[in-house]
Amino acid sequence: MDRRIRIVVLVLGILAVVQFFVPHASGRWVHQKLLDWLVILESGALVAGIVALARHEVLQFGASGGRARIYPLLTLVGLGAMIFSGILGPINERSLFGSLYAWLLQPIQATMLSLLVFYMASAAFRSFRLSSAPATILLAAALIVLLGRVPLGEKIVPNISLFSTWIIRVPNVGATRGLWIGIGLAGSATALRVILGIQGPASWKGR
Amino acid sequence: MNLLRLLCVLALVGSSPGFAQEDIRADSVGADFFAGIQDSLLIQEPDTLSSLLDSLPPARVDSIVALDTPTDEGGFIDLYWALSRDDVLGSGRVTGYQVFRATEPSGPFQGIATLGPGTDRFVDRHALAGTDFYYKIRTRGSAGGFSDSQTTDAICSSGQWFDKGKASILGALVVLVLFFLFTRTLPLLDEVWVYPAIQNIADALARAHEGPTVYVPGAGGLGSMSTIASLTLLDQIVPLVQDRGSTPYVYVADALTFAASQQLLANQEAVFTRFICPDRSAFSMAYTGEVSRIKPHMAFLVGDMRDEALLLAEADSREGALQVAGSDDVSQIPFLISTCELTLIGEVLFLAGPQLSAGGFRAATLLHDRLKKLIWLLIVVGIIGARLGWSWYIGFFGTGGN
Repeated sequence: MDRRIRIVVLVLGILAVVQFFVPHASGRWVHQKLLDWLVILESGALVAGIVALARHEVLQFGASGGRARIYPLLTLVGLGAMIFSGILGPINERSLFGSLYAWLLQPIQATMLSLLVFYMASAAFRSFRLSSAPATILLAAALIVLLGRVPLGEKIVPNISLFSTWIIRVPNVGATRGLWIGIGLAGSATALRVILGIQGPASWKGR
Repeated sequence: MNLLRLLCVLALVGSSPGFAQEDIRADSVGADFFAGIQDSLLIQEPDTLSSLLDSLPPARVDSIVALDTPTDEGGFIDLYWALSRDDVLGSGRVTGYQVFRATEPSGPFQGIATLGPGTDRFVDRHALAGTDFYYKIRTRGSAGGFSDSQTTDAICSSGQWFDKGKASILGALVVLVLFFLFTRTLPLLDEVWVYPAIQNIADALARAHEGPTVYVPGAGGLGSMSTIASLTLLDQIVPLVQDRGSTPYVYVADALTFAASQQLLANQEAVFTRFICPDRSAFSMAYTGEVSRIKPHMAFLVGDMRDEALLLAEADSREGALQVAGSDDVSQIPFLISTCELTLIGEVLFLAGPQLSAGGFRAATLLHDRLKKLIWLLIVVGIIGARLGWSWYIGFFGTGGN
């Protein structure tokens, strides 16, 4: 089993690498087929995931008591409502599925993401409160960039927008590129380790 | 242009009421002819002159070249031409170009594209590979006149089997493969250099105590290398936290990652692996609820994370958990640094799993120790080369177009 998985990973990995260098239609065909198989695998895994989720929530509902039961119940009701409204009815803006999505799920998502603003402020406050040298540099850079981006900043400190632009274009880009070089090299090395069976599915000991 | 002017003059002569053809007598042709031109030029209004110029067909396109598009899958042909001499910005003499294609040099030609003035190239994306095609360009004038270019020679598109622009990547790949194969034959190193951030994780794990530990291998799929790296780290983390009496909870957003993590932890007892939802927002909401209930003392947020990174980190922070984060998303790293106690930045994320495993020290660390000098040398030469304008150097390390 272990050997067969290693061979499958190696062959599929080599195919994926080779097609990257082959612009010919055959290369595109292989790429498309691999993507198709990925979609099939994901669909199967999604069903397994939903079953596992539903099972966990049912067990949770049975195990918990009082007000704590409401959370698994809500999850199960929500899961069932979306699945059955999608299967039994049409999927468009006016359908039950579309209405649940547009009038319930989207506002909840938007609310959750809008919390990011407050979380950013909270994270920044905690970071700046540390009073370390990196936090001070971060605070100074943030203030300069903020002032440089608004008209009022130019009134307070003339030419601050030039300095702000310099921070964004020079140190910021330099640091980002440095990170990308490291990420690219390490990502390539990890990909090779997976294909060669040193790391990843072919080497995970839990199997 | 001289020919055009002469044609204009002749047109003016022909249309001038004071210089009708029957008035030209043989004995006075020379003097009357030039006097007539002079009179007619004086009589004609500028607008009339302009409209007469516009009524002439525009100059045709010259130097049309058709080439098989390099580095494509087949079915693409590049066309280049020199603009019509009348295609001058602001003149309005040329209203555009039409591209015609045929499978025989004599036609019939079929129009395949209409382009605006000033356009001197076109890519035919529907040229059946293996078929000979002939092209010509029609220059359209403002008064409806047009002129056709010469027909190109036969051109046939074909797909290429190797993208030359990616030769440098292939070279680097071969070097890396050889390196891995070579290092597998070397004895293990007794002492290896470990990234400080990874050493800090090991120290933090050594201080772990009883209580839940949560682990999120990002919210992305298995297609992301950071997810693979995160699962490798998870493989090392779970036994370490269990040794300290802690119970690991793994929360997964992607279905395939869920299947992989279940497989990975199949032999580990008392690990709670939960699939929540592929939607990042919904995942964040559910995760926030979960951590508020189980109150973890340690949290790992390692992998592919985007907007939800801060939501997840703040949820752990509220519960007072010691947070270890790692991401290869440059835009999220500042948030994670601000929020979490330890952050694995960039390549450290990929090395954390192998460096924490005894066997993985070899390849991961050798890669760093032995190749880093070469990589630094290439980077420094690249910086100097960019200043000196070595486009060939930058081009060699480019990914090419495809």
